[in-house]
This record gives sequence, C-alpha cells and structure tokens, in this order.
Amino acid sequence: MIRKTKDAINSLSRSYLDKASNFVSEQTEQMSTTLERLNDRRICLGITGLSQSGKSTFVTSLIDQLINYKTSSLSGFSPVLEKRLMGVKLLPLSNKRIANFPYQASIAGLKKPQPNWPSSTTDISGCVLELKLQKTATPLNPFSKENFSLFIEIRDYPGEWLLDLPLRNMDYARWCGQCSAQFNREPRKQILGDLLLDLQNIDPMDPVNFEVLAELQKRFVSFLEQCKAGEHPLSLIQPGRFLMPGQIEDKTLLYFVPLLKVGSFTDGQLEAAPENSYFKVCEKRYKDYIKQLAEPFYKDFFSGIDRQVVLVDVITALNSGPLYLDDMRQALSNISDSFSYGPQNRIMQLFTPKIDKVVFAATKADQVVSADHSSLVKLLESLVDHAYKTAQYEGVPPTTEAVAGVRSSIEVEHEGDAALSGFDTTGAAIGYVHPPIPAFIAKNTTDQGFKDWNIPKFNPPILPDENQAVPHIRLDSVLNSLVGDKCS
Amino acid sequence: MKESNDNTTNKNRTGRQFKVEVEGKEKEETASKSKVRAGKDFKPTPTEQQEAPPQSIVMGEQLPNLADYSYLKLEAIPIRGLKLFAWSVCLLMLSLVVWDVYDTIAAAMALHWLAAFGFFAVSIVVLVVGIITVFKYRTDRRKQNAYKTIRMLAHRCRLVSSKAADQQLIAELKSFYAGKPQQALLDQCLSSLPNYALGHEVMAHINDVFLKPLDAEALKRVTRFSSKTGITVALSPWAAVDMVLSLWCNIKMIDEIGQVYGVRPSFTNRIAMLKNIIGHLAAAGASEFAVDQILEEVGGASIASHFSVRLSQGLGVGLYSAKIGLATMAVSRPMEFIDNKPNLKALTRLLIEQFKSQFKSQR
Repeated sequence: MIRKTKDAINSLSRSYLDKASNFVSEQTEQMSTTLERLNDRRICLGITGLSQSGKSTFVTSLIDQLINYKTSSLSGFSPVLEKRLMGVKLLPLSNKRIANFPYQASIAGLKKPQPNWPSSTTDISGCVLELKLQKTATPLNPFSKENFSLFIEIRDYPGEWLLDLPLRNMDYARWCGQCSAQFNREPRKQILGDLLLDLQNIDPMDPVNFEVLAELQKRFVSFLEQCKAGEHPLSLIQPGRFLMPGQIEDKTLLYFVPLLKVGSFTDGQLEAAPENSYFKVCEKRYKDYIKQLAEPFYKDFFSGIDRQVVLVDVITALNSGPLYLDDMRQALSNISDSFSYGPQNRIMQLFTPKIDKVVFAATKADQVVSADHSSLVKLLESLVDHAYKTAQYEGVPPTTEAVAGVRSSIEVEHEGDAALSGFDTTGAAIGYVHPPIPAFIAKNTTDQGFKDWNIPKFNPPILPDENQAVPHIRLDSVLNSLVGDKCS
Repeated sequence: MKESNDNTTNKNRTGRQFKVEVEGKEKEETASKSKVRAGKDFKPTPTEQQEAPPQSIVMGEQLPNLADYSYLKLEAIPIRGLKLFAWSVCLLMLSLVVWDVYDTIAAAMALHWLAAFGFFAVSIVVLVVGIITVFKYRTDRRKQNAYKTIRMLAHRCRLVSSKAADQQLIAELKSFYAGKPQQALLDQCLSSLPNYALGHEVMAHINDVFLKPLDAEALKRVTRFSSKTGITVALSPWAAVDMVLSLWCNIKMIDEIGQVYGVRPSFTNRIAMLKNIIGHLAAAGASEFAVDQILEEVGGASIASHFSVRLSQGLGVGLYSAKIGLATMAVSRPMEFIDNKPNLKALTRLLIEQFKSQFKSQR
C-alpha cells in the first residue's frame, strides 16, 4: 500500500516536473526568439499565394538554393555576391504543434531520375533557415570578422485557406449576399447548374431539415471542387476549408451553405429568425467556422509576418480568359485587406507587427519566353493593383518580379519564333510557341489568343547531380529584396 | 530613292505633297504586322530538345549569360542611428533652452521678482503657442491623410464587392465632410443609397448623386478662373506682370476647387495639393499636353485671323490654367472619375467662345 502510494507520488511529481521543464524550455525558447527579433536577427517570411500558385515548389527551391549556395546561382543575393554567406542550416520551427515542412520529400521528388513536382499542401507546416553570415567590415573596425546568424521562419499552408481571411470581416448575411451576386454570373452560374435554383429556393426562415442541409452542403462542396479543378480554375473559392479541411475535430463546423434568399430580408427580420431556422443554424456554424478555424489560422500564420512575398500564377489565369483574371484580381484584393503594411520600429514590431517589405511575384515564368517577362510583370501589377497601392500608401514600396522556383524549359527558336522546349509528364520532349503576353487586359477584350489554346505543362528538368541546386528564375532577386538588408 | 539633277524641270514647279518610298520598308512592316505569334505546340527537333538541364536566370539577366539592365535600380540604404542622433540633438537643444531660461529667470529674479515673473510668463506663452501650433499642424496632416484614406477605400470598393468595405468608405466620407457645407448633400445621397448596393454600385451612386453636382461646380470655377487668367494676360500691357497675375489666379483657383471637394484652404493642404497636381500633370498622357493639336481641332488655323498675338498668348495661358484646374479636380476629388471625366477639349471650346464674346463686346 505504502509502496503504491510512493509510486503514485513519484509518477505524479515526475509528470509535474516534466511539465515544468517543458514550460521552462518553451519559455526560454520564446525569450530567445524575442531577443533575436529585437536584435533584428530573426524574421518571419509570409509566403502568400492562392491555391496552385506554386508555393511549395517556391519554398522547396528557395531552401535548396540556400542550402546548396556554393553551387546554386544566387548572384543577385548580396551575401553570396560578397562571399559573406558561411553556411545554411535547416531547422524545425520552435512551435512544436506545426509539422516540419516536407523539404526532403519535395526535393527528392524534384531530383530523382524521373522528377515530379512537389505535391499540393494539405496541412500547415514550417521550418527555419539559419543563415550563418559574416559581418560587413566597417571603417571603424576594419578587422572585424565577426559572424552572426540570421533566422528566417518560413511557413507553408494550403492556399485554399487563404481565402478564409476575408471572411473574418464579413458576417454570414453579407457572405450570402456576395455569393448570390457571384453565383448569378458566369462562369459560376453554369458550374452550379441545378444547385443554384435549389439554394435560391430555400427559405432562410423555414425550420432546418438537417438531412437536406447535409445534402446541399455535399453538392456545394462538389461545386467548389469543380471551380478549383475545372479546365480553367477559379481563384475566389470560399470557404477554403470545404476543399482542404486539414485536421478538424468537429466536422459540423463545415455543415453550412450560403442561403441566396437572405438578401430579400431586412437585418431586423434576420435577427428575429427562429433559432431552428436555416438562417440561424447556418449563421451559427459560419460564426464557429470563423472563430475556430479562420481566426486561429490568421493569428498563427499571418499576424506576425515581417516580410511578405505574394505569389501569383498569372499565366494560368491569363490562359483561362478575362473572367478568370477578374476573379483572381478580386480574390487578391480581398486577401490584401488582411495584412497591415508600414515601417515599424523593432520594439513595436513585437506587439503590433507590420509588413515592411513586400514582393509581388508572377510565378511559373519558365512557361513564358524571356522577352515577355516584363509584360508578365506589368500584367501582375495590374492584377495586384489594390494591394500594391495599399502597400505604397503605407510607405512600403513593393517590388515586382517574374520568377520560377524551378526553371523547367529552355528557350529555342522554332520557325522564326521564340519558343520553349522541355519535357512533359511522360518524359517526352515537347515544345510550344505562345501568343505574346499582353501588358494589360483591356475591358471587354475580345482577344482570344490564350483562351483558344492551353499552355502545355512541363515536368521538372532531369538533374544529373543531386548536389546541384535546381535551376530557377530570379529567386536571388526575390531573396535579396526580402532579406538582403538584414544580412549586413 | 533617286535625286533628280535636271534643272529644267524646276521652272514651273508648284507645291505638292508626295510620299517618300523606301524600298523594302513597306514589305517589312506588312510582314511584321502579319507576324503576331499564335499559340501552337510542336515536337522539338533534336537540336531544339533539352540536352542538359536549363541554367538559372538570375537578377540582371534576360536569359542565362544575356544581361538585362532594365531592372537596374539601387535601393536607398537608411543610415542607421540617424533618427536617434536627431532626437538626441533635439533633446540637447531643449535642455540647453530650459537651462538658459532658468538662468535668465534666476538673473531677472536677482534684479526684481516682477522682471522674473514677466520673463516666465512670456516663456509660458511662447510654449503654449508652440504646442497649439504643432497640435494644429498635426490635426491638419491627419485630415489630409483621412482624405487619402477615402481615395484608397474608394479604389478598393471599385475592385471588391464587400459590404464591410462600403461601410468603411461611407464612415470615412461622413467623418471627412462632418461640419462642412457638403455634409447635407452627402446625407441626402446616403439616405437614397439602396440597401442591396455593393462595391461599384455604391461608388456609382455616390458618384452620380453626391459628386457630380460638385464636379459641375468645380468645372464652373475652372472655366471662370482660366478665362479670367487668359483675359487678364491678354489685356495686361506689361509682360512681366503676366506671370505674377497667372500665378496668383492659379493658386486662388486651386484653393477654390479644393474647397468645392471639401479640402480646407490651409498651408499644408495647399502644399500637399500642389505636390499632387505636379505629379498628376507629369503623369498625364502626352495627348493632354498637345494643346496645339486641340487648337487645330477647334479651328486653330483661323485663330490667328480672329485674335492678335497678345490675345493668342492670353488664350494659351488660359488653356494652361484650365489644365491645372482639371488636374486639381482629379487630385482633390475624393474618388477617381468613373465616367464623364472632364477634358481639356470641351473646356477649350468654352474658353474660345468666352474670348470671342469678351472681345467682340469690347470692340
């Protein structure tokens, strides 16, 4: 009996001690992170991009370029140019709840004899890059050869979730109104088919039938999937978790749909709706969705960003036509309102972080001949116009660039035209000439150059040596714009 | 093209236009016009195929090893500690001033307590006036920034259909026009705004109901001031006075147009607006600057026959005044023009008509 009691006390005290030790180590780590931030030696990089914008490939390549900085081409990144980069280490995030970014799996896929693109992100992950740098010698101390570490936090997440951020500032009735406006226009109207009528026929004041609601939700999710996976994918797909739920314990959070008749009721009528009505049930679930999924996602991922790179797949949208470009423009404008830009001193940055540098990058530039890169950048500037002007207004002049995490094609001349040549997913050689990239899309344009022809997809290039970094387009420029100033 | 050396043909030569033909140029132009790249797939020949992995394209290159310096720009590197240095200097100056004031009061006290009190009172008055001035300056700056915020929000509303964004814009507009003569018109406009209106519909309503009457008034003032400037310059016998007169008229016009849109005439606002106007004029398209072309369109060839050189100069100055007026409208309007953006062409006709009627009546 005494022995048992002793054992119980021992195990209890051990568990308390473990907890205390964990707490202390967590706090110590937190404090050292804070000190590094205060000392300007730790920055959080926000990689922002809609679904299929090439975030995972971009992050994988960025890590690969830095880890293999001796063989990679980073001449535009000042520490490499000045030979001050002494080494790079990949570390896990201090937040143990977030999984490690699957760099090894992604890079192994890119470098194997039959390479493949990194798979789409289904959940959150992250990593820290430690850059060992040599300090720049100053005239006051020309003999100083001191080294220091710069920690760059990078986090990856499903792009679908990004579109949940604008929902934080929108109540359920407004969201229904927005959906109603969108669903009555092409291309969504056609994709919805009968579902549009069914959603319009539901009276928000009627008592809820959970079976009908579940059925509608299932069809709504299938509609969102079609929006994303169609020949021409749409950008503004909300709510994002309907497509990529991640790890959710309470699945009922996802069981709501937009009620398209809500617009015909006044705010007072909606307020007075019975608790068991479609409106009240869906509204409650929508609020829970925001509170339990969208808000924590924003808090964990975006509220502490110091520097941001916004990745935009302009080419796919261009290939889909003006309607899809407009959809992307709207999605990007909606998202940009969730970020606060502006110069901030280090102490205030700890409490109210602001983004003081932003790069807008048109990804997959290897799908376009190099002479059209400048037009691609101009088109990107017109797409991110709102975010661009907001950042500029707040005193953060943005940078724009045409980039590719992996350059998968070479430029050749085919029958007098500049063309691209590479390999398709089966490994067969393919090539194409594309119509010129317009620098802007005029309203009511009839230009069908891209719409009538789909850009073929290239596979990653076959690399003879695993230690060779993957070829890229202007990642060095992006890197320098984002962290170059912190490396001196 | 052959050059003729035959002098005999020069005898009965009359003026005529002819087209210079450059051999091959026309053909080249036609070929380049028809050669717009169309999308097509092809199977690469062995020479077109990738043999080795592609090389990276880095900053400053269009293709590997093909330099492209179009991106070239140098970032300003802020000098670290400059701000701290400035603050330290300020603190040092302040402590010196406080020290000196204290010394002077002590010295005056040794003379007579009334002298010390008088100096102390003057110091306090200077301090209070200084604080009030700084406070007013900051409030003015804040109001100017609020104006910028409205323009940003309006831009967002045009792009995004979001009720939250619309409400934010409306709230900012209300706060900006609170206590100004435009408030009544704004309230009237907002009360007639339909519930279902979203994004660009809200913008269109505010534009039609609230801003268009203001635009009409601003345009009226632009016409009035530009014709006044033009006529004054035309009538003024001293060329040196022209510049001063037109400058004075233009500054007055900028103030008045700003007032129409709710910008109070203050020093900081005037400076900010002048900065914006210069920026706007610099960014304006070349077509807006082509005054000669506009004059031609409205019968410029006959202008010389209608007006004397002095009058033509006056008209030119009037036109430039009108252009500045339009630029002021563009930068002081709380939202960008959606439709019916006033242009110089329409104003030119009006101005010429006013000139004609003014000088006919004088004759």
